[in-house]
Amino acid sequence: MARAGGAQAASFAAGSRRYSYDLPRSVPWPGMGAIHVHNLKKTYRVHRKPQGLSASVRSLFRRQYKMVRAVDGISFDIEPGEMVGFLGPNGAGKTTTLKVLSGLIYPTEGHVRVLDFVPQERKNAYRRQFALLMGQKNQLWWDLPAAESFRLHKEIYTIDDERFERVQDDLTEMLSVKDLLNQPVRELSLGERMKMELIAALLHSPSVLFLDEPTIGLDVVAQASIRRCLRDYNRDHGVTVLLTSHYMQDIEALCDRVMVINHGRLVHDGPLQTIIERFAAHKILTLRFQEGAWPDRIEDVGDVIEFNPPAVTLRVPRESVTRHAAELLSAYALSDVSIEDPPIDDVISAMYGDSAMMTPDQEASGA
Amino acid sequence: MRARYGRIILRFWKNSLIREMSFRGHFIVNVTSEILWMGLLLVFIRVIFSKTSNVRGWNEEQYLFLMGTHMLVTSLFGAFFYNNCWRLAELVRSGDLDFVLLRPASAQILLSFERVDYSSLARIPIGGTLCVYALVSLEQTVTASQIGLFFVLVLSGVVIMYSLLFMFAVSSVWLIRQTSIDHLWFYAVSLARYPAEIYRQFAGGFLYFALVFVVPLLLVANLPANVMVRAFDPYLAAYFVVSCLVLLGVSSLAFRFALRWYRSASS
Repeated sequence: MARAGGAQAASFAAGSRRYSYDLPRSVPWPGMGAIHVHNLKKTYRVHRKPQGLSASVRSLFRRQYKMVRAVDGISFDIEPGEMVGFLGPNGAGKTTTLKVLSGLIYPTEGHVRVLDFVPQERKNAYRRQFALLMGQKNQLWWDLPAAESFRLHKEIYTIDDERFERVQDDLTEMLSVKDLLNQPVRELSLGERMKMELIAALLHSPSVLFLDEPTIGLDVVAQASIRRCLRDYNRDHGVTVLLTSHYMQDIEALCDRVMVINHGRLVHDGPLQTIIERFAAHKILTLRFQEGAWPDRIEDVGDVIEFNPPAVTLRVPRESVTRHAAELLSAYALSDVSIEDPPIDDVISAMYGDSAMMTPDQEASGA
Repeated sequence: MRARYGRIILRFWKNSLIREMSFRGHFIVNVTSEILWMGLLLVFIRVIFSKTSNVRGWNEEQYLFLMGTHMLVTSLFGAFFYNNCWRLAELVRSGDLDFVLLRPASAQILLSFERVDYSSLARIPIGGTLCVYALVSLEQTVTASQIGLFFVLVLSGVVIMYSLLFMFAVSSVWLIRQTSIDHLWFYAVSLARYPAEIYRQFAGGFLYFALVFVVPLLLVANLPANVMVRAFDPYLAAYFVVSCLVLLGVSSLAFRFALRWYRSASS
């Protein structure tokens, strides 16, 4: 990807990384914070649909509503150029948060600032500086080649000709879809279409990018390609990214920092690795015994995950795993022992379950 | 930096044209059905005037002119606004309205001009021919100012129809399903095809009053046709132009109000 720049580009070093921005824009300098969210709450009023015909008829005249708290007091700050993963089960409040940050819905309570704008004021100056990409929605004209939708974006975002050509060239090259530009979108594969959607979102060179499941339903190759593009684009342009995904590979590959939300509350904010340290109650112990050295009551050590004599894989409580391993090593002839962290997916899903138990009275929806 | 709406609208029109051209069959079918429909209406008029020499003061040629005018108005409205208004309802239902609201430009303009139904424009030459034929048959001379006023009133009629339907569509924020309003709209527009005078006798003139002074749909074809081939009422014309501007303003306010509601309610 060629560097956007020329005389107007401002670049500066922050830590070990270099950021470069295209001007004119209000450039968020490090320390100012690209995104600031304080005690954000969002409550929806939802029509309570009764069961049965007579109740349905009654509800025509007298509707019953219940209040659903989709986001329940979350706070975080994101620095310019950061790429943050946003994890949580369906209905946890991820999409609601992204929509509040985009100015699409009003927060019920709390403060939100993005690039020093208040999103719900929906100023054009703000809307020129961010993009929201939703993997499950389609923004391009279905029956038209993507190139025509891009030209429309050019007019709506008043991008000048030279800059438009350059950005479009760079992005189509980066995602290797140059030869598909003039093919109707409906004839593209899901992966190709998603790449075009991503280009449309980046055409106006946003400073902040909200990505809601950008790789959903894509094959492995397309996922990797989109991931690579996002990583390179973030590195070259210092764009701030908040990304939700159900694929842990996306988060592992792209995000140094992860926020986990469940039932509208932030349950973790930090590096991905610390999730394992904080939330994995177990370790995975794999043992391979030598001939004739099989112990009688292996299930006393931990839960058996895989039973494949002479090898066995067990889930063992974190605090006792080294003791058990040492005891087994001294008592039996073992050819191999390994202790590993559980897969991150498992830790996260266990976490969703745990935090649900912590707040059983919360009803969450709206994502 | 302001959005350049002229260029945006031009791009919408270009994209719609590219889209239309990729469905040649659709275009041909639409134009054919327009021509058939018009032929049917002409037969209908012929049948009426074989029994009587005038309908509430309109003779056959004047009536033809009214029909031609109705075609011009509904053709322009159908080409530029009808689909866009219904698309708004669809966008609300699917939640895709979000994407329009993200753009750094007026959402109402983006929504109102996005699609053009070019096949609907086929009625313009048909309606125009009908008007010219009627004028020639009437052996009537018209002044340049009459023609100018005629076009001002035709455009006002288009804007009135747009404002009303846009407001209907905006109500989808609360109602979500819109099929019934589509039917209501179809009948209301059909009423405007006939001489306004015939409605004076219904329900003690209530229908006439409602369709002239509450939702001025009845005038969209009648008023410009009157200017050209019958008597011209300057007060009614002034009222019409003013109400066009007022309705446009109200539609914009209604849209903003609905958006406030949509934005605090949608998930």
